[in-house]
Amino acid sequence: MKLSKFIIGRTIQVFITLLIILTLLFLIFRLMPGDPTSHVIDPGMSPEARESLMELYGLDRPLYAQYGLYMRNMLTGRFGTSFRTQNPVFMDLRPRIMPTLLLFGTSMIIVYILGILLGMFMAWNRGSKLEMGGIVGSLTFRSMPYFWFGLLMLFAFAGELEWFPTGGMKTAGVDMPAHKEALDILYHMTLPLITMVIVGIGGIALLMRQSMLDTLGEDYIVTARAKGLPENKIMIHHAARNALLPIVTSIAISIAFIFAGGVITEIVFSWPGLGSLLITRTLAQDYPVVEGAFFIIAILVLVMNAVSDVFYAFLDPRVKL
Amino acid sequence: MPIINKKAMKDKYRDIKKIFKQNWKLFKTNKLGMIGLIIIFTFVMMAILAPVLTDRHPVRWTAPNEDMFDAEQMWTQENWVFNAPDVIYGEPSFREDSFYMVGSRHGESSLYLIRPEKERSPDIMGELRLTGQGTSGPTHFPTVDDSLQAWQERVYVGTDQGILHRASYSLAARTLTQDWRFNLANNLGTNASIEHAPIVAENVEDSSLTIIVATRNSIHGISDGRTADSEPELLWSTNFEGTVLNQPDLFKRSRAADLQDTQTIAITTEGGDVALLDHSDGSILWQFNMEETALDRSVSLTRPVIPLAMKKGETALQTFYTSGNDGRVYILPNNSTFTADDIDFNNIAFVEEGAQLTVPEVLDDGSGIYVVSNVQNLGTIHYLTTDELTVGPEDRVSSWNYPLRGPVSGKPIFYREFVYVATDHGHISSFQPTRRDEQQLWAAEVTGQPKAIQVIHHRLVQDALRPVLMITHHEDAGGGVEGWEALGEFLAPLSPGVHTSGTRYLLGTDNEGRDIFSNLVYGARIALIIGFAAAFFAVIIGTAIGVAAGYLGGIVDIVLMRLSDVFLCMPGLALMIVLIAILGANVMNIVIVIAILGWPGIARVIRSQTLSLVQRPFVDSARVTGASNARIMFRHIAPNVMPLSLLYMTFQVTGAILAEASLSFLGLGDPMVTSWGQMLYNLTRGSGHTFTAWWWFLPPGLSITILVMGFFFIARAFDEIINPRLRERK
Amino acid sequence: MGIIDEDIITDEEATVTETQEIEIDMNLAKEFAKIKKDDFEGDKILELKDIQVRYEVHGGEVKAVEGITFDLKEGETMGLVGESGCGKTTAAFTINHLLPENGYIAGGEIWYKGKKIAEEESAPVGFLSRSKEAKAKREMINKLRWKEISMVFQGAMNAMNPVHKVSEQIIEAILQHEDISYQEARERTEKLFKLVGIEKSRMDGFPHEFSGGMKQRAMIAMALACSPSLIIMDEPTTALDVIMQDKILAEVRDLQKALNIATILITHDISVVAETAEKIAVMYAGVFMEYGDIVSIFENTSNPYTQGLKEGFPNIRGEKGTLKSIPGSPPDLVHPPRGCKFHPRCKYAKAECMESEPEMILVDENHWSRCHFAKDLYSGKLGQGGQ
Repeated sequence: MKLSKFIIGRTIQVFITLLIILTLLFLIFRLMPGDPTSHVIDPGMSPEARESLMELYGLDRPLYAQYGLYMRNMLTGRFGTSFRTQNPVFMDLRPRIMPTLLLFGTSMIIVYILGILLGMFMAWNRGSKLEMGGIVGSLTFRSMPYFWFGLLMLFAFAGELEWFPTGGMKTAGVDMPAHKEALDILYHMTLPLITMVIVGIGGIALLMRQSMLDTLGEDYIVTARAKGLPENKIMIHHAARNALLPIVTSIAISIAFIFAGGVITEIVFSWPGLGSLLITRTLAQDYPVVEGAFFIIAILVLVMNAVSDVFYAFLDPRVKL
Repeated sequence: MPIINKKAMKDKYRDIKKIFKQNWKLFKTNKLGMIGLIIIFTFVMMAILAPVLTDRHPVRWTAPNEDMFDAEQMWTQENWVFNAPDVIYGEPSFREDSFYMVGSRHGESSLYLIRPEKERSPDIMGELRLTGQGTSGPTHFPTVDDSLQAWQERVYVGTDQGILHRASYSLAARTLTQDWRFNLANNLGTNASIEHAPIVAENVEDSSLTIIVATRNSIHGISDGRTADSEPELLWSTNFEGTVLNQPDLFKRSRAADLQDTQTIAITTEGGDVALLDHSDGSILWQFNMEETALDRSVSLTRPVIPLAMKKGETALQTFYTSGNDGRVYILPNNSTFTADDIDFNNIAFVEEGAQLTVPEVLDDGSGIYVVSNVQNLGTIHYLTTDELTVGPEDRVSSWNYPLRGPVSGKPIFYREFVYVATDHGHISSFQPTRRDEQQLWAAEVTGQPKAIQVIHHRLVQDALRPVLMITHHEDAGGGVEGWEALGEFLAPLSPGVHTSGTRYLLGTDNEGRDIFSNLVYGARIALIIGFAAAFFAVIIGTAIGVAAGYLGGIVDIVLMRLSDVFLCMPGLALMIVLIAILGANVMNIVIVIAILGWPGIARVIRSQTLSLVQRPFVDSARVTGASNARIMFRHIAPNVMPLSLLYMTFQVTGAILAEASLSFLGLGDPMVTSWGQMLYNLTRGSGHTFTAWWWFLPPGLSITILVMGFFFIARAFDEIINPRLRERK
Repeated sequence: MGIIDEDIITDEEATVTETQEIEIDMNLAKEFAKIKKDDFEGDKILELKDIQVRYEVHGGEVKAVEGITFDLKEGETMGLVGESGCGKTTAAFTINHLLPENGYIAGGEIWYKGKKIAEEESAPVGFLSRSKEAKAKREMINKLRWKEISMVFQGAMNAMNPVHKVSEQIIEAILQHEDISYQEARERTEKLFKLVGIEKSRMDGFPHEFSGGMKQRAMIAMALACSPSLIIMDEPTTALDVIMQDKILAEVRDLQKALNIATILITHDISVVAETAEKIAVMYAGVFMEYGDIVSIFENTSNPYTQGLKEGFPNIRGEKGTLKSIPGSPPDLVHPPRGCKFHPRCKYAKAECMESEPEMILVDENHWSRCHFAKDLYSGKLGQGGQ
């Protein structure tokens, strides 16, 4: 009962945030320097097409009317027409959503699980050389730009050793049965996934380590020790279980970092997702697609945030659902 | 506003110094913190000392062509078909990838600017009708036009009617227009035909130009200004007895102690006169007749050479080499008191009895000369080292020589360490002086009668400049130009070390020949500037908002925190990309965009800190004494949250540096400056080089990583200072 | 003093159970008493011999405990009293090796039921240390922890893990030491709750759902779970209001009697131990100032510090007088004062107090005092005698 109430409340929050983001987008694209219509209407269009589009977007109407129309359009998925491909924007966006979800989702799960384990391991082996190595390693990878590490992976494993393809999601031009296709996608996803995981894991591991160290100073750990519990039970069942909480809270901020990394990784490996679309179309000044892609990415981020909030509520009994 | 209390300030300064000293002591004990500080210090030094560390401009300097292109000494004419619009008179005047030429047809002459194209007809970039027949080629002179404040090219052409034309080519507008025509015949009457291409001398004092023109028996100096509308004026004329043989040569005089650095003109006449004139007034500095030395008539003269082995500041004794129809090469020192007695007849090289020699070509370092001797329609190319030019007249002295298959009227040219020579019958061959085996390295046959050859660099393949050997044929043989493209490998990106031209590259170059080390040090500037600036602004905004939200509470708090939440949930980099694309990519915008996305992270933390501070008694006491809200926030709360702000600023810097690198990598960096991310952007654009040029790939990435790590290290140290509980935990 | 228990105000449901008196179900208690299977015949179950404990900190070493000696018989209750920071908690935590990362035993021995369980160490060994000797020590002490020696912590502390159910935390302790099934452990937990007077229905709640008094009782229940022979209680009532304090203390007293468990009761409030303990140790700056039979100490106080503590608390029956607190503040344990550690604050201090530290002087049977003037104080020649 309470869970559904929470979900509804959270959904409303997400919706409000989306509205704010849309408003921001509107302001950015319409009020920024330059001819505002050029952001919406392809300069190369015929006058008749321009006319009809201007009507559709209400570009000849006052600002508040434009705003209303804009909100209505965006919320119903009418993102406009691409300058480049002349397709409705959503058609260009659709095939990109799944690859992004696949890559980002998988890497986030792996990053968090491995990062938490690594952080726990580092805290457990406090003061040892392993921990030092772990800290330095985590810090090093945290400092590396995603694109550089991605390029390194590309050169080493796809270029020199030729173990993996140099880009894309599927082998082109070849038809294969479904399960083989899944393996093919996995094969293509390996290097970008490794890139995202290795660069992202450092931050989570360090956070978890710090959280563990903080937790190990808590009183209930003393109680657990006094009870004569074995070391691994104290570490995992008592310490890690509590240390997780700040990590989950920080997912909201980490997500932004991981998404940024994902966008870059997509470009480096030519992964056909929303991130690479955003970049290529931005450089091509194909603004309708850029707006649409950004909007979808924002939705994804917000949904993931909300999910992590629900997850937190499950983890921490002190939070009243 | 109270008057600034000097004592109070001094006290405050002392307090600040004390706090600083205390914290510094703590900081020093932290190993990682010190390492971080050293790292940052190194990069800051690198950024500041960039101009000292390298004198190569990161974007504009490119490696010399000889390093970039490994020309095999093979040239191919494949796909080069070139038909000039007219018969070419004189020699073309070559630019980087195109040339000016004088073409004549049916008695009419025009000036053309032509860009040869591979596999296509040439691109005629400009055309101008001339008055009279052009007898010699044009001379082009790039200059900055003072009135237009733009780069321009002046082209001077003379015709057989004694008319000197000036045209200008506007690089921006891509048009060739005629500026003026100056009639020498007015002053001279007959014999005003301008025989050779004019030369242009710059007057340093008043930045005017002097155009040196040779008519049949005279040399003239015509002044011209640097503005578009300057009018010519005849400054001086100097007459000689014989016909002026070749294009006057312009060079700087030697720096003798009492002599000034003027420009002088050297000429030879058919009557055997050799003279040196001052360009500003045409006065003869020395003159001297070779006939007195028992020569046959015509004499040719080289440009003087300063041996490279000389040290700076030493007075150079420039040397001319002159050859005559007696098959000898004479060595003439260049000084103002030069007389016939100064010719040391022991210092004459005897090349070939009775041969007509071409103008000797001297190597750049003065170590040797080439000359072609023509005897009975057969030419021989000789190479003489300067040492050997001391042998007496009776002995043959060439280091090596090679017989050619025809007479040579043009002169050999140098390209890299090779010399190219063309016979009048169309045989082109190349030789290398340092090879003792006298081998001909490459040879080709062309149809026509080459009168001049020249190597230009043409932008053909992959934006790289390739050498093209341009051969101009004599007007009697059609007057065309043909090109031979050098075969060879494009070497860039160059690996670190020393390359062919002797240039040393600490970290090699990229695929366009730009120096990686220079880019690295200048890139440090951008990384640090943008990093600090963006972090600074983000912290200022974030702290202000955090304090306001925490202190004022209520609706202000709710609104501000909602706003910061929205920013936090947005995909940061994606928004940055969109904003930069719209606002334009320059340093200022990048800083603003990064700061805008950075403040929410700080605002939250500062807000919590403010909330805990608000409970403390000193805030209440401040309120009681009637301090306004703003005053409390600014003077009481802000200083207490400052350490936290500082800590978060170091984190912000790391984010900002990585964000800037990412933006540049995607091509959204400021194109006017170079940055580490941009270096890697270029890497991905240059196809195929990515996989092997580790010197291009590793340094920028490593620099980013290490610099960011440095900030993380000092952030850790700060953290321990601010959170003492972390300190006790050993 | 006087910490308000916020939990009582916020947790409405709990206030219902608080007002009821708690009756110990004696039958249940007897059941628990039987669980203990012991073959120890000796007289003293716990002996501390000249224990010294130090902490390594940034500036040097904190000499938290500078040599204390005491023992405990089966079923005996000892009060360990002193100001904050005197080292009493450290002393207690040393017994079952619960010192923090930077603490270590600098000297002395601890014997439990005839076996040596602690001795001098050269350096602190963290509880996560991987070294062989550390592991061996952990193994040894883990067998004794909770089964033989259990603890009750201060209620104000976060002594229970907030993300696990209270019942689970108790069951976990039971299953660690007893070879019984989960169901059996759960049944025992139910009985424990009944024993301490918490409704069975609250068993599966989370710690934050318990009020202060309930949490304390739950912890007592947990401490009794494996029927230990020794319970160490660290400030068990400090976080509670006075009424709650009283109830809990009464409960503790009854339980302890019924189950015959030896107890060390640590507190800064001397009045607390007055009703529950048979022995008392007054601690200051890492050493015992006075130690022995509680009646003798209360009636014939032989140490200025003990006097001071007594005077700090109101006496309901005695004359009305002004409360006196001891002037000054506790000494720096990194650089303790020469001579008697209390002399800077002692109103009787003389030259000899500054020069030499007094030994524990036996002033009566089972009554020691560490003061140069102990005998004079005992006899009443100096200051106030008994109360």
